[in-house]
Amino acid sequence: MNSWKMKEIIVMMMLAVACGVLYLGWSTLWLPISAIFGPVGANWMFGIWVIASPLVAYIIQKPGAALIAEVVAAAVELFTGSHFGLSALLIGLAQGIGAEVAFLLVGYRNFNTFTLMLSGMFAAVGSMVYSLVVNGFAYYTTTTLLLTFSLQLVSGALLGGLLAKIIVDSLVKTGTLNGYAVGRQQKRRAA
Amino acid sequence: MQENNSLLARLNPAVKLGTLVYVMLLLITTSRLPVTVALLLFAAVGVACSGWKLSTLVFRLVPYTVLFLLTFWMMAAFGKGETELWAFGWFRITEESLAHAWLVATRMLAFVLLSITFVATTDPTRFVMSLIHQCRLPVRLAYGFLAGLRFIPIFRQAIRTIRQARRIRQQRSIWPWQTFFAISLPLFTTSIIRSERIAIAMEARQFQPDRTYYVRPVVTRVDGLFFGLVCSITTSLRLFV
Repeated sequence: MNSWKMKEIIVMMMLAVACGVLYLGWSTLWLPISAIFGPVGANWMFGIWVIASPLVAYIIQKPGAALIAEVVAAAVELFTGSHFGLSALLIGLAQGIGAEVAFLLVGYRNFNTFTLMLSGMFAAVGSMVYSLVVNGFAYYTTTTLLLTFSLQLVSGALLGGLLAKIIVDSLVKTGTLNGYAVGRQQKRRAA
Repeated sequence: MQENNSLLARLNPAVKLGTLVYVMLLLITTSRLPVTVALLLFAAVGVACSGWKLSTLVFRLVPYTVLFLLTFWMMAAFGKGETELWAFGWFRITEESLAHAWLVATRMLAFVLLSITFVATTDPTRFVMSLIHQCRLPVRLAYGFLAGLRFIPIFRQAIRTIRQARRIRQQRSIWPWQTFFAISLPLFTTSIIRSERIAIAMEARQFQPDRTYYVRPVVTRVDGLFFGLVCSITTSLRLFV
């Protein structure tokens, strides 16, 4: 934690909180859709809930960023009265650990599209493990379960990882991220 | 969100969270409906002690009945089972899936009641302070989180402004992710600029990890009593119901 600059900590917290506020709107949107289409049909929306990890980890590029960002976003959901409450905190922890493992596997070095999408998929795995144990996903029919899981993996990779990559790259273009790892990385690539 | 004068509100937040997570773990590890219902009733007692007026409680709980019905319906209609009771389109309700639906939906409702108990009686600032002192959360992280929490209303206002600006310009998007970009990009840009200012302001005021505190949360004997009492009651409910 000592190698972190103050502004890196604050930007991580602020972005995670912003993500938490976005999650809140997304949760409200999720309710009616999931009632009609069931666990399979609503799961294309899953990826947005894991976007905090790849987003912040890509900007800061330091160990722990993915995990902390996801837990903080979940804590915001808890304190603003989301209908997922304390379970959001636990599932956020599971997703954060998943995302962190992906960055650990590449040794916190290559923050490219592939790694970010991998972190979105690992977050989906973490979330699935939690849902199997807690939300009784094991009781679903095998087809439902497999469809749900594959859809979450794809959604985690696209709406989580890829979208985070696109967003951060557009943020870099605005110049606001020049003082952070991702801005320096892009500058090096341009030179 | 707001603190009140109930006994639960006076407890140490970290101890309270630990206790509630323990009850949640008990709920996770049981697959028997009677146990889940018993723990649900226990959680309901917790909500009743949270010091909120009945009208506020009812008002807060109504949205959760929707979630309860939804969870129930999803498990009943999409769960696995042999004895078919009712089928329509891609929905298929069986005896087994109905039983599982009761279990999962009750567990979910118990989680909701526990988190309402926590949120209703816990002030976020006190909670973070007690995480610093009882759980050794790094100070810079904790204060960063507190700074971030202050921005929740501002972010909500920002999202509202962006949406209104889009509406007045008649900007409609065909795909949902276009809406997501249109809202999130300005939100993230402004929050990055703001966070840089906050960081500079904190460093300019000599913010550092070794510091003194105005209030230092402690674990009292009442906290220990609460932890022991809740844990023993719930554990015996889990074992003997």
